[in-house]
Amino acid sequence: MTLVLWTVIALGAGLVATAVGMRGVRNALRGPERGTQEEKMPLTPLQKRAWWALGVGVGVTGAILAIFVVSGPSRVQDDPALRVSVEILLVAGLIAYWLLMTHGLLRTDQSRVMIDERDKAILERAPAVQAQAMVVSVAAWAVILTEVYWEAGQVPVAFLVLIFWSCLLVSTMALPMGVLIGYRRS
Amino acid sequence: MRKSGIRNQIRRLRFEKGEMTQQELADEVGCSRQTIIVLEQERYVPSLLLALRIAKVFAVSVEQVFELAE
Repeated sequence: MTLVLWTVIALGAGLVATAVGMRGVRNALRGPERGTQEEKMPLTPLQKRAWWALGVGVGVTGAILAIFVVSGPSRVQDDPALRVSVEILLVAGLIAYWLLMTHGLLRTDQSRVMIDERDKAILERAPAVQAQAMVVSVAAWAVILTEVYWEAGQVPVAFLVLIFWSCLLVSTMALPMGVLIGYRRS
Repeated sequence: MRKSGIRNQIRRLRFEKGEMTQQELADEVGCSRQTIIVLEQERYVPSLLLALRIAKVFAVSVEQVFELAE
């Protein structure tokens, strides 16, 4: 149970970091303020893909957490079928994320521009959010594991994989979040 | 809404050019309609390349399209 608890805490910390910009995203969803003549802004292709990628990240994270919580961490460790299920979820999520965030965006054979200079500028700034989220996630793992296993003097090897997975998940959610924040701010 | 510090005449020039739509302008200069919208709202400073392309579409100089906000 401890393993699940710390996994949830580390993922939660990463999510909190990505959620630093949630206020901006929430405001973006609200649309133009009342009383202004601001016209309704359609979503850009990159913006739409960022929303989808964020959805994929949240979905995969939720599914993996559900497996851990329902089955228990030790069973996930010992049962190859469960472990492979988690790994398949991760890989499928990463492929979906890659397809959404990169594939086809830079194609030039289309009648309309998929990604222009403003989109590129936003996309270039988004990894700053991703990096901050990763740092917070790793820091959370470091602090928690140090506190919990200080007396033992060693950390179970299973945590290495969990740290890696949680960083991947946080990373996949933080980049689209960074893109969405970028649209809000620019 | 955060202003960019640069004023522009894009909306006026579009209407003077036969009520050109934002999408038509976007297609001509190679950007998205969303970028034209934020330009008209003065929330985005375009690259020199985009500014030159916009000026070329309206057959005016860049200074006639963009100016520093006082």
